[in-house]
Amino acid sequence: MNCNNSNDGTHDLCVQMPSLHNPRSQNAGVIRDPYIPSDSYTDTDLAVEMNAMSFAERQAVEEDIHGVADAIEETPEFIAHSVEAMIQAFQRLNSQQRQALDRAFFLRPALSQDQSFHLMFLRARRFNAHKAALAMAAYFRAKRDLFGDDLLVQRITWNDVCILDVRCRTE
Amino acid sequence: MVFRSGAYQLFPNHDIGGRGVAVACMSHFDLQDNIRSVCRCIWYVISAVEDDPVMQQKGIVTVVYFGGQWKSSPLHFIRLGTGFPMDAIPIHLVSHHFLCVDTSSNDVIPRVRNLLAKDSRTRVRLHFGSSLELEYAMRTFGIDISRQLFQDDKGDEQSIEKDIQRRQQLDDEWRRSEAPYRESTSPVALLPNPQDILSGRSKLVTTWSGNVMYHKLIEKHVHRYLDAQDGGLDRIDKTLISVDILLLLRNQYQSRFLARENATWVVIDDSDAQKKISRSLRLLAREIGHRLG
Repeated sequence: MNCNNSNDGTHDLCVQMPSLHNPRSQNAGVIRDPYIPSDSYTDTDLAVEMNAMSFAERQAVEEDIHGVADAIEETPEFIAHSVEAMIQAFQRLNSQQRQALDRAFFLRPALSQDQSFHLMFLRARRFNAHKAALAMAAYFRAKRDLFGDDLLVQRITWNDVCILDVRCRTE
Repeated sequence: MVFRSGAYQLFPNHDIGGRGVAVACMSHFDLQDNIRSVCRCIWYVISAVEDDPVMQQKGIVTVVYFGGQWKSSPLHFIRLGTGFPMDAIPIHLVSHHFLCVDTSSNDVIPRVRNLLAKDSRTRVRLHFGSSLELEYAMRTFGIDISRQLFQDDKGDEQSIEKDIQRRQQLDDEWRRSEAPYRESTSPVALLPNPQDILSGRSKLVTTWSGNVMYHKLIEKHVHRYLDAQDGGLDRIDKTLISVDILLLLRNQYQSRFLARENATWVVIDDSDAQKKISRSLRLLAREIGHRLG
């Protein structure tokens, strides 16, 4: 394995091609999907994923990690176009994925037209409209699951967290 | 509570790259509590990003400290990792720094890494060393965190208390901004109160708590309406019954009749609300009449 310990204590990226000598690869007759890691994520799994990335993708990851990545320029036209693409992406989600999202938009209709709220998810998913739509649907699903229907479209406050925490302990 | 223990906290200041910094100290977590409660607390910590456009743009860096005496077993952390909805958080997770003082966490780290999304797994960096070395290692990535943070059994109480106060102030501001729309006198509502009655026929409307309560009230008063019909009372008496119900809803239950208009809820006026009540009474009376043959 090409794993270097640099002077600053950082383990540099370990890149190892799957080989015949790797015991994990010797599971006779088992074909592993490289994108589904096993229970324990090994350096080999990491190597497979890194090798599957293009040079540009790796470069982007490195720049992100070191905080030197170029910020995506957010012009009003770009934002409007991205939000529109995200709204269209909602239509492609299935009913199960949309359930909590639909309820949220029904209860607070202003949310469906709130550009800053959409923008938060677009920024989180680097302006990939489909991923942002999925994230927003997952956001409401998770929020409903954790905090219940009553707080679905409300700001989660310190009081809410404390009340739910106390309720959890007493139960 | 996880927030007060400093097990997971979002620093109020950004790093030199403008990114937010979230720090998790594995030794501070007490996961004997309900895992869902911990998930809720982490969600609350992260939700601060909703008020911070800079953090939204630049993303956040997570720093996980694996050293110290753990109060919870690795199995608890696996349960926490699988229970927390990582795919739902509206933040770009720029990178993860795993800090270890020895090799005792070697078994756990691959499992923790496995819990991360595919995009995030390649963004993990491992650091080994003393707390001083770890502090310097973080500085090479533009992240300025004190080694003191890892040495105590609990987080810096003063800064945590200050963070709670800051958040409570923001909560109060939000409450103040929303309060006028919740008043029963407000002509528009941002979202319905549980006791409000909504117009429409969708499943979301029919199962809404206010609508359920409204239909129960109509059932309770329909006998008066039927009596008025049988006794040959005129139209005005029937109107009085619906006005009675309207006043009861408004004064006793603080309910409003809401209808959706564009991107908002509009409070419908009294005459329309009264017509709606009359229609509900008429329909139910007719249904009872059909049932009785």
